[in-house]
Amino acid sequence: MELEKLTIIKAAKLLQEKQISAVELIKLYLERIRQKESELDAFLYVAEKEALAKAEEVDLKRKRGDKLGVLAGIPYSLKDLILFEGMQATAGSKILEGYKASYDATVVLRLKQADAVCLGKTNCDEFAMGASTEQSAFKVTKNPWDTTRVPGGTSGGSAAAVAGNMCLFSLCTDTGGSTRQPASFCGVVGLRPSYGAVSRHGVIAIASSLDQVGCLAKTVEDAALVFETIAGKDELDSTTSSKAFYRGLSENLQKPLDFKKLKIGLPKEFFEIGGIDPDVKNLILKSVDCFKQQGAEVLEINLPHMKYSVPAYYIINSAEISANLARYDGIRYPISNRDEASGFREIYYKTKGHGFGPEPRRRIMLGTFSLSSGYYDAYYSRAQKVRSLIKQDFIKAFEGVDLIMGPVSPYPAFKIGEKMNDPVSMYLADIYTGLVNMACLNGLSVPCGFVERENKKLPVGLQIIGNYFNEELVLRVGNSFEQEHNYLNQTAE
Amino acid sequence: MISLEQVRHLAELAHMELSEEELKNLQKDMGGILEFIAQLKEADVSGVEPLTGGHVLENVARIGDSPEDSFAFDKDLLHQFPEKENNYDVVPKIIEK
Repeated sequence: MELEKLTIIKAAKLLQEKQISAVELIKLYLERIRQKESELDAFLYVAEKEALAKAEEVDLKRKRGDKLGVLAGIPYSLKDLILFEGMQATAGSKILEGYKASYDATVVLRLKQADAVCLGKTNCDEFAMGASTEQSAFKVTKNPWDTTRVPGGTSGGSAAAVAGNMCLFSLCTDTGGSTRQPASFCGVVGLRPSYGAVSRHGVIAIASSLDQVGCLAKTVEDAALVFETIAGKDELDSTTSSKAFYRGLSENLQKPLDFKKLKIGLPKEFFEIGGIDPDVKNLILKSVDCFKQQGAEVLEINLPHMKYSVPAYYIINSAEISANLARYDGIRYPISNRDEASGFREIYYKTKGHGFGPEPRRRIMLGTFSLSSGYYDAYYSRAQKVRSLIKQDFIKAFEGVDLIMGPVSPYPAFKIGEKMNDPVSMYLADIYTGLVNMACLNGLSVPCGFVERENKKLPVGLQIIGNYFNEELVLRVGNSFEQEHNYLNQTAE
Repeated sequence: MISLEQVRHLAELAHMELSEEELKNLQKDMGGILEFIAQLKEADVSGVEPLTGGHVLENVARIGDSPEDSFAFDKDLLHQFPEKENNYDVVPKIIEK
């Protein structure tokens, strides 16, 4: 079987028609992981035993004629930031080595109820800080299209696993672009849902006002099915909204779209900002033109406060990180430097000083700075006000358009090591994605073509930004774009 | 833009033990980041309310009883503590005589 051509929808059909058993399918994927892992370094833990046991359960249920979930037998991977009972959850950090999740995240529970099969935990930047997965404390994941390049981040392990055909989808997170940017770099589909659309219970908290669970898949149709399965109100996460109601979404996906009624906004600022690669810019404009040719109206819009988005994002992000990461103090998680310490303060100092890598340390320091007395108003409070202005820009824009389109990333996948010594340049990788998180909106990255660098094809993603809780329109338009183009039939190598 | 003394003080506030070399690296990195962040000073935020997160504000009071037995995860959590005694996590003494 060619795993390159398999999607969730196709695999589910094969399983239903009993052309393949869940155990056979899972064995194929485990074999693929064995072959590709040394080249891509996508996984931090491969759950071979657990996956085979779940696959056997699915086969048995099918044999008995029991009711099966919509993702029965479908193999997926999980960013190592999301809890699966009994499995490790390191968040890519040494400070969580040895920790085993004592419960399932709500999203994992929903996937278990849908009978999906977890193949393991994927690599990510330490505590989801970075844009390349180079900040993982364990290993550097490679881009399947060119292994000298990064897969993007922070969900780089997840994106490489999907693009490398090591699983059919992956659940990850998106705090400032961590789902969409690796999707763009690896040529897969990535959805960051609206804030409040998906439960974060059991997802390691990074920056709580920005975090959201995202999904990566090979097609928009697959991503929609996964999203529908995991989304919705959860009593265990008070930030989930009663507006998060998506039943029937994947069925609505195929309904014909009347492009003549569709208004697409193209923010002027997106293309004025320096640093956008000219080839990426051309691909994005060409893609938007496709919608125009189908009858959609394309309007220039303004997001006047966009230029403040990245600096405001990093103040809010680091402030929340410094608060959320305070819990890794050597008292309740396995890693503790208490043997070298005298007194409780030293336990904190030594555990945190040794356990956190360079980027978490930078953010904790920056967050401590902007929350400290004398700086709070000038930094943290000002950033939150700027955040209001960014959100208002979007609300105003959506009064005149149905969707906003633009690039996901200013450039295609960069070389491993290229940006590691310059934190600000790494932060600017989030320029088109972070503002969606700042405004609590949703965004989709869908492959829209390739650029060539050093004789290698590198994928580029188009970003489609939707109004609050209107993921359905974003996915329908993304699905229609995908079917008009054949990028999805191209696979790494 | 930020002194080594300030960096040292922040490390203390954050409870992180950092070597002299790391403090110096952080001073350089944070200087660059703060310079970048300084553009925010241009933004006119007069009369703007801060956005503290979320788009929809709705009542989130939990309906009914606590959904979990408070002791449901005891066993799984206990064995992960770095130091334990019986069913307790051992914490260092924080109040001196």
